[in-house]
Amino acid sequence: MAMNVIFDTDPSPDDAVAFLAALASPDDLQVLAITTVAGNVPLELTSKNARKALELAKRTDIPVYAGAAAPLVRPLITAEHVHGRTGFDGYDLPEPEIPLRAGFAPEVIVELVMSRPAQDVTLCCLAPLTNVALAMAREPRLAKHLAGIVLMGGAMSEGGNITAAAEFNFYVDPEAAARVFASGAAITMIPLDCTHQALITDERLEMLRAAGTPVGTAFYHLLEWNKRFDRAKYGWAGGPLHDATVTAYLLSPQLFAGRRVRVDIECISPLTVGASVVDWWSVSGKAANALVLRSIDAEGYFQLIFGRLLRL
Amino acid sequence: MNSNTPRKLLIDTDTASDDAVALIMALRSPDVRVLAITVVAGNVSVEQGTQNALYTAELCGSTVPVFSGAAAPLIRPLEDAVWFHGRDGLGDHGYAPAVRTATAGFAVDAIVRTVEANPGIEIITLGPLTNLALALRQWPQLADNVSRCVVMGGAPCCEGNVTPAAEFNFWVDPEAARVVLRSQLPIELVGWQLSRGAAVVNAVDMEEILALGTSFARFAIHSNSTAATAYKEQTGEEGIALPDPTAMAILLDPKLALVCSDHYMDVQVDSGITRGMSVVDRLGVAKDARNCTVWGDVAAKHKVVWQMDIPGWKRALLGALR
Repeated sequence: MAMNVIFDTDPSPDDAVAFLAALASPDDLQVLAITTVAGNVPLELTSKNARKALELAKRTDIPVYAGAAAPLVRPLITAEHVHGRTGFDGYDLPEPEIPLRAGFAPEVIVELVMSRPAQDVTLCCLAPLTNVALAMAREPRLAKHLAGIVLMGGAMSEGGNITAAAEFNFYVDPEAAARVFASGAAITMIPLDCTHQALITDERLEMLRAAGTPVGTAFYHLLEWNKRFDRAKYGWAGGPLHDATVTAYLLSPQLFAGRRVRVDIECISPLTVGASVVDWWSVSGKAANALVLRSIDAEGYFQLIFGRLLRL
Repeated sequence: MNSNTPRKLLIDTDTASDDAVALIMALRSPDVRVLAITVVAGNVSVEQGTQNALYTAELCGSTVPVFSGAAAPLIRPLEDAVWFHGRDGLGDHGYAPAVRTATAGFAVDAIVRTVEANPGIEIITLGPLTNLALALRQWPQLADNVSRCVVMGGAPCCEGNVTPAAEFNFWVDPEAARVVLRSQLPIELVGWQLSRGAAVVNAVDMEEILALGTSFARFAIHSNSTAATAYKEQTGEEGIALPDPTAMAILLDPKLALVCSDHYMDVQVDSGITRGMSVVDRLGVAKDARNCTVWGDVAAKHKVVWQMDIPGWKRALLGALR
């Protein structure tokens, strides 16, 4: 029985790999909708990129809904310096023909989840959590009605990637992250500590290029371009493929290891705003609120995700 | 539009006892047409606030749609004020529930729809700013379509009422207050302190109101009985302080705002002793470039009402309850 999922995303190619791999796994996952949010680039562009990716994969049946154009409280910060002006630089894809569906993404999330039985839908969050927080504000029962939330975000011992203290998704909307982590939902958090172990090496990129499929070719170029920044910044053999860990966890949780702990998000200090404070040793006495994944079988991850991508 | 056409108004409220009096003033005023009442969690739960709004509307013979909104602040759990207004927010007199129920739909959607359909509408907020902040996030152009936004909240350059630094509405949801104050909405800030001192509805005023003999007059005084006790404990003053009705009086008759001026302002959002504090740049120091780093990215100036026509306010209150 396929698991019902909704992807909330701000596509860059990293995000797109995550939901396309899910679409290539119909036995395991049923994608109800894609909801877009401002983050890597502004909302108009993330909404466009999501549809470009769907058209490339010939899955124009999947509805795309636009959500929040700005974080809950703060002005928007974006990452064109990493992803390029369009957020999808590196390969020319045609302007999307499919329209955005009518409806405000947070409202749609509530509708899709609450119209189904409890514990039926899982939210897959690849972006700042603005839409999710807005959905929770509309429907106080949402958190408990979800099967769970699997999110890419935060950094535990790894250090931040946008500031010294914070990972990008949590930094862009720390208040939304705080709301989500306080909501009582069943959260699985995949921080940089985990994703930085999953590097897109030349070898792994070659898998995509060698396949010769339209999707493989496009993502070979997109990821190759996208990872230039990371290679230069980190000096690694490749950039991390962050977001598809969310899909990989749902398909093969045994690729990961982690611990159920308490996570809080800093919202006040300018120095540490967006930091995820993870009580790894359970010293705070506060109730655990998330499963934090700390390690990953990188080879297994890429075989799985790229394998699925190349089925499209 | 001539001066006889009623002005369109949307009221956002956390309907407790003083909110209810403000609702009566608006619903019975020939000068405004209330298009919707949107309820937010604050003084009481959003469920209780919705019931109270429906009760008050029914008392006034009004069929204005009432919508239920945010059940909690943007990111914090709700901390209510039943200790001030009574468990039901209306002095616990066991008022029978209204016959009518709330109109279906989330209040934030109603705010967006109503403003979109009525550009130039006026808004007044009487509770925490959660609904309005969510509406601004849902429709960024909302601010451009509102002609006036009276906000009952804050303690501009004075002490707070729920903590030494903060007034209740801002204290309950400081993040929402920040979103609203940093928006381009044309805000007039009516702080809680305008309802104190000579503006308090004192024993003489209460007698005069009760002598009107109307159901509105009786309700206005009795629903505020718990609030009157709490006010006496808090301040040592006799009477009922009615901050929401003073804001409504100013909305209905702008001439009651005797002294106003425009200032940059912001709200403290941490959780220490200054949580929810409204910081108003009364002297205009923020325009000095050397102070920019302190002020950060505060976006807009808003109007602050410093002084109200107190006899005018009391006449307006009496007139509304007649």
